[in-house]
Order: sequence, then C-alpha cells, then structure tokens
Amino acid sequence: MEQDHGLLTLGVAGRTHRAASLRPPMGAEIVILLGALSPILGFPIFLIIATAFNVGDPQALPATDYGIGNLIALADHLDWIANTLLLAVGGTAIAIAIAIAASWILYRTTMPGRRVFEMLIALPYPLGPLLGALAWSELASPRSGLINQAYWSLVGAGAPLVDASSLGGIMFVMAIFEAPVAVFIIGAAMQRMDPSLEECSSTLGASSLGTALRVTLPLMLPAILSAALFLLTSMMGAFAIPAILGAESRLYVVTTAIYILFQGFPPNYPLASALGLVLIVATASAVWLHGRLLRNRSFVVVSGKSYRPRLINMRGWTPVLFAFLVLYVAVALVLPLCVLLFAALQRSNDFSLAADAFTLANFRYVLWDYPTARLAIGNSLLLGLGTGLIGTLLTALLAWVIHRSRGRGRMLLEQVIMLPQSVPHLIFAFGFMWAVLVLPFKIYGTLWAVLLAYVVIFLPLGYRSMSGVVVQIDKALEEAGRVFGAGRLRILAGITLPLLSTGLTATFALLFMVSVREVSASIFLSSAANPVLGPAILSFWDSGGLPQVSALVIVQTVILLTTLLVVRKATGGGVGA
Amino acid sequence: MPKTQPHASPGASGGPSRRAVLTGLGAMAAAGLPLATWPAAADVAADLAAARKEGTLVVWHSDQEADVVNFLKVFTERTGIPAVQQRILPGVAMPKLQAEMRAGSTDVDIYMNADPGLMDLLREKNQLLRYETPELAAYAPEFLSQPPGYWTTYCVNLGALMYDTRTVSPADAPKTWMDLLDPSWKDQIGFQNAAAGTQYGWWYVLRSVLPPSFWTGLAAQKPRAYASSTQILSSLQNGSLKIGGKVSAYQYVKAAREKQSIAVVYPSEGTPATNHVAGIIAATKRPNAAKVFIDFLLSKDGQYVFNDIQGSPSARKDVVIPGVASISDIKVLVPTNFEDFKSNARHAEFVALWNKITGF
Repeated sequence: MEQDHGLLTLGVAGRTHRAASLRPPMGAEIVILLGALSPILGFPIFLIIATAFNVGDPQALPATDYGIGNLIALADHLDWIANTLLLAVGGTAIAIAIAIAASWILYRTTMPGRRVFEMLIALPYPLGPLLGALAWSELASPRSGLINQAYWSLVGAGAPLVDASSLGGIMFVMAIFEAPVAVFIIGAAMQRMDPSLEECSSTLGASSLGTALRVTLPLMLPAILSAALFLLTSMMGAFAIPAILGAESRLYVVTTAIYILFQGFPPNYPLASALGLVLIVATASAVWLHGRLLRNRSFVVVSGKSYRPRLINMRGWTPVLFAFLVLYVAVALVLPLCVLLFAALQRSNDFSLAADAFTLANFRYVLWDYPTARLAIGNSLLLGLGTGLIGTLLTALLAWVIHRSRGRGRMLLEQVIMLPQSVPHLIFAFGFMWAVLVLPFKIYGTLWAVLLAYVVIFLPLGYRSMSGVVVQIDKALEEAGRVFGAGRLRILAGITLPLLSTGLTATFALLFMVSVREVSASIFLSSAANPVLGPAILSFWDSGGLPQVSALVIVQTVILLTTLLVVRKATGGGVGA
Repeated sequence: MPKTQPHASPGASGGPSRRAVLTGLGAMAAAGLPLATWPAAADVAADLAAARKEGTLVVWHSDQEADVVNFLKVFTERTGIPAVQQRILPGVAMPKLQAEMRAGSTDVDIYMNADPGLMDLLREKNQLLRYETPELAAYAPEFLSQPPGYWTTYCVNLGALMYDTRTVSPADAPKTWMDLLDPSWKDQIGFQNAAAGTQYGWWYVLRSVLPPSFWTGLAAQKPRAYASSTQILSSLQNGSLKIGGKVSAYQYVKAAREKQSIAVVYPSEGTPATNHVAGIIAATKRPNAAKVFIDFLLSKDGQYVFNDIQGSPSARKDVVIPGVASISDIKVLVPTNFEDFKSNARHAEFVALWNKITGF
C-alpha cells in the first residue's frame, strides 16, 4: 500500500524492476513536464558545479580552466564544514526530540488545551529564522543578553548562564524554530496510525509510557526519518540564524562562509561554489540514505485509512506534559516576540524601562517614512500570492500526473522535482542568478526572477504537500463518476477539486508563508527597485539599529499571523496552524 | 553651464547599427566574454523637465540605509524626482554590477561607493558616465577622479577608535593603534568585515604606518568582524564589545547628538580617512535624473543636507557641519599611491589578511 509519510518520502520509488518493465511507455504529459522542469532546475546547479572546478580567473563565467584545486583548498576550511554538520545533526536531533514529545502529547493524550497548543506550536516556523536570530541575540548574548543580565543581577557577575552565539546556542535556536515542521509531519502520521497494536500492548499489561516507547515510537519511524531528513537538509542550508548569532563568536558555517566569499572584493566564486558542492553532496547523500532506510520496510501498520487512535490519560504526568508545551511556546514564541516588541518600542539601542524611552516612532518610520519597507512589504505579499498560486497549481498538476498516470518516467519526474531540496537556497539562488543573467530576455532584477526562483526552490515542499493529499483520494470516487456518465470536466469540478480543496488551500498557505519569510535566495535576486522583506530586514539589521529592525520584523510577523488566521478561518480550522 | 564629455566608446560616436550590436552581443555571449557597455548619450546639461519623466532613480550605496533614505526624501522634495536606494557593500556591488553589465543591462543609475579605488576601476572599464557638474569647482583635486567628472567625493569617512564610557574608562581606553594590542582587549575589539570599503581604506594607509608585527598581534587579539559600524556601536552600547577598532566617526557625532556615552579617539599615529565617492553608471536609463542628483549631492546645499544627516565632514571647504570634526583639525592619513590603492592585487591581499585576522 502506497503511503506518503512526509515531505521527502519518495512516493513512487521502490517499484520492482519487473513491475516497471510491464508499465506502458512514458506518457506525453511526463515528457512535457520533464522537458520543462529539467533545464530550469538543472542549469543553475550545473553552473555551480562547473564553477567549483574553475581554477582560472575566479570571476570568469563560464570558466576557462578546470581542475580540483578548489576542492583541495577546502582542506584549509574543514572547520566551516564541521560546524555545518554539527549544527545540522545536533539541531535536527533536538528538534526531532521536541517534535516527537509534542506530537505525542498533542495527538495521543487527553491533555487539556491541545487545540490551542497545536496552533501555538506551529507559529514559530512561519515567523521565520530572522525573528528567532534577532530575538535570541538580544536574549542570550554571552556578554549582554537580557537573560544573562537577569542572572548576574541575582548571583553577581560571572560566567554567562546562556550563550546563543555558541555552537550549542545556535543549534538550540535553529531547533526550536524548525521543530514545528517535524510536529506537522510526525503528528500527521500519529493521527492516521492504526491503534490496534497499542491496544494489544495495553491488554498485555504494558504501561502507557512503555507502550509509547516500545510500540508507538517504532511505528512512527518512517515519519520521524522523513522529518529528520527535511530538518537536516534545511539546517545544512540555514543562513540567517548562524549569520546573526555566529558573528559574536566568530563561528562560521558553509552558508555564512559562502556569503562572505561573495562579499569580499575580488570575490572568490570558485571556492564558494566548491563549498556549495559539499553541501549538495551531503544533502543528496542524506536523501539517498533516507531512501535506503525505508526501501524494504513494510508500513502497512501506518495506513492511509482514517483511524481514531485511542487517547491516553496520563493522569499524574499531565502537568509535566503541560509544562513541557508551555516551556516550548515560551522559548520559541512568547519570549522572542516580547523582546522584539520591546525593542521596537525603544528610542535607541540602549534599552530602558523609563517612560521616556518608549516610542512608536520606529513603526511610523518603517511603515511611512522608509519607502524600502513599504515596497518590500508589497513585493513580498505579491510574491507570496504568486508563489502560492502558481506553486499550488503546478504541484497539484505534478502530484496528479505522478500518482494518477501509469506510464514510465514518474520516478524520474519526482526526482527532478525534488532536486532543489538537495541544494541550499543561498547556493541555488547564486546559480539561478547566473542562469537568468544569460537568458536572452531580461528578467534579472525584476520580481519575475524572484517569483520563478521561489516557485522552483519551494517545488519540493509544495509537491510533498499536494502529494500527501492526492494519494489519500480514492480513485474509486472518480471512477464512480465516470460510470455514471460524467465527463472529465464534470468529474474535475464535481469530484476532484472539492476533494482537493483543503489540500490546495493548505499548500497555498504553506507556500505563501515560506515565501514571505524567505531570506537566503532573495539576497541575490532582489534589487533596489524590487526589494523584498527578508533581505530588507537583513540589510536594515546591517546598518539600522535594533529598534527599527525589530519594528520591521514585528510588521512581518503581523502579516504572517493575519494570513494564518484568514486561512484557518477559511478552512474552518483545518489548516493554517 | 555643466560640461559633459562624450565617452570614447562606440556608442558615443553615433553608436553601431542595431544589427551589428545584436550580432556582436550574440558572438560575445556565445564565447563567454564580458560585454562592454557604453555611456548613455551624454547631454550637455541635466534637463530637469526630462529628468522628472525618466522614472524612479535607482541609487546603490554603502552608507547607513536610513541616512540615504532621508537624503533621498529631501532630494525628491527639492527636484520632484522619485528615487529608491539599495545598501550594497562594494564587495557585493562590484561583481553584481559586472554581471549585470555582462548581461547588457542594469537598473542602477547612481553608485555611491566607500572605495574610490573600485570606482576608478569602473572608470577604466568605461562603465561610468563623465559628467562635469559646475559644482566640481568647489572641490580640491584630491577629491575628484582624474580626469574630473567620473566620480567625486561626497563625504570623508574618518576611521577612529570608539568606546562606551560606561564600560571603559577614558584613562584605560586605547590612545594609539598600538594600544589595541593590550591583552586586556582580547576578544573585545570590533572591526568591519572585508566587504567594507572603509575597512580596506583603513588597512591600506595603516599598513605603511604600523609595523608588520601589529597585524599578527591584532590577529592574536581575535577581533570580531561586523557588517557595519552601526552594529559595532550597538555592541559597544549593550556591553557585548568594549572597543570599536575602526568605527566611522559619524557614529560618534550621532551618539553625541543623542547624548549617549560614546567616546571617540583619534590616535596619535593618524586617523585613516576614506573618501566616499559618487558617480553615474554609464548604462544609466535615467541620465538626466542622474545628473540632477549629482548636481544636488555635490552642491553646497546638498552637501550640507547629506553630511548633516550622516555627521561626516564634507570635502567642500564652504560646508561646515556643527559638531562634526574638521579634517583640517585632525592628523588624517590618506593613500598616496592611488594606482597601488586601487589595484586588484592589493584588494586581494587585504581580503586574505583581513579574513585571517577576523577568524574567517
């Protein structure tokens, strides 16, 4: 039984060779989609790979001399690669641990207030890494963080209590802001899980905790691995959090190193591309390993059918579970928002509780006096709508073709769609910028270039979201319509679209939010005439004060929260946190 | 009347035929060669009425974003020409500009750069429009491109030492650049990163003043690299940093205006000065608006507005901003060999060394 376990499971992978050989030849729709997508996705990656082997003029494009000198030069910078891998692996482990615990509490226990927590836990992800990085740099800077100042005021001066600029600190901040995605993936699987094995365990005398650890957890393994893979690839390509928090401790990762290699003049494109190649290989290896791990497993106990798992009353442990969720919401949502709101209301970087230290001038500045912010807000909303609309329609089409057609090439098409997942956004955008610059028509510097890049880099996310919906729709419903004489359009309008509507809305909301919070890819593609929010905030952080940049982040947060509320209202609470 | 000299390029002498251009572009693109651009038709003077119809002026700069936003607001009020800005450090701007030029198109009209050496490289590549505004007469030769009209200094950035008197007492504070090597400042010094033009200018002049051991000693102090002097000031104020190793002096002016406890030190060895220069990109799509901008920026009025907002000394002797140190009152260090200063090799040497010093 085919089952979509999350964002990165290869849904059509794993067919036997014999079965493949019996399938009809590649259909026209597969050929057309492969022909359209392959160059858009493949050319930027090809340019990055080619530049990584450029040993001639570092600024030449295309390269004139090729060799492996840049890869050898990476030996001098193994600390960047080691930091990246440590942060990604450690951050993923923390986020997965949080997500497993939170999902189990939300979906398998009778703890009160689960609906409210379900919404609150989802919020840190769409609010984005910039909010997390800026807030935690103020909260937990080793020399001046508000938490450390409070600690020193109690125990006297000494070593800091918390340090957001350390490897562990950056890992923690990345984990708490990525964990909601894992809750989404693991929680979805938990809700669909067949409860019979758990009931057997209880009948045989196992405790609730024992059942959770020995039965529920192993059953969730495919979903956990899918979530882990998504987080691992995401954290290897993370930019904003390590860039902002790592500055104080001189801690560099591959993405921040690439950014700096681009910034210095003359820029070192070949070394930056070689670093990008390392990330591409690491991410592709993780995707391959994930496929290997799941290839021969049977998932029949985690079926696509709708079950209502028995909820467990944890009795005396309930306050502990409640406290765990409260703590998560506090560190990932309440504290960051409060500190940035406080900063946004201050007159200067020199924070004070005195009445005359408070002002609304920063909001007035970013909303009225700072035209870049207004332009960036408008452009980001447009791009969010565009990416949501185009991305949803495109990924719905792709998911439909892959899961409904019978011809060959579906697995190849799915792998092409998933290609951007193997490339960190910053690096893909760099290759994409080169690619659009050599196009015969001019789109570089326009919103179209950014829109195209967003659609491409979020293709895997949108596809997985739509794919999960399509596989759950029984073909028998459409076949019934056909038996009763309905035409294709009638079936589409009367059966398919209504069944897909919740999934389409959810995918649109997801793509809208990830577009509005996007930073890394936009850095190379936005321009003075067409600024977008992420780079505008980053630039403002570079040269403006914390009060003003905090005000801009708060404005971005309000936009995202409003979207979530509208979508939630429109879908009756089904999606949008 | 402003004098504009046509550039010695194919486009200036009537321009090649459309067919020839397309053929040439295709051949060069196929060969992967850089495509040269040529200046827009160079009118004698800026036409304000035409400028207002050219659309929104696009300005790249490396100054504080809020300062340029405020200046552009005044510019628009005075001229009726809308303008947008993007803060983009020279290290990022140059390759991006080259890539856009290679593709045959850029939206940038005005480039305000904190590294005159890089601006002169653009001039050498025929990528700047020569425009001799009558305001040039008010500037000494050292503040002008040679020949004049390609780029001109619109403010002088002094790279000084800075600290917050709440965390460092004036008695303990460093008085010279060599004092930065005091072990008590280990892990406590902040500079700008290698992408900053002013950081390059600072290093360039001090490398011939300070002994070579200074740079190894400085690396041992493990200084931090910041994206801007604003971030350094924020860190000084919140106590996460004690010494700003090179902070633009205008930060002190702004802090003093807000009555904040920031102190500035102009070291006895001399204070590096970097000229911030502005020019018109040759491929500008808004040549009249760009010229009106240069006219205003370099005028006495424009210089007062900009440098009053930023807190920097003007290169014009007839513009004095209250509370801003005059460059004639400070021992200022400037590059003496401009050819060496602007060379790619010297920039590459700086990037390699500075990345090493700042732990990259």
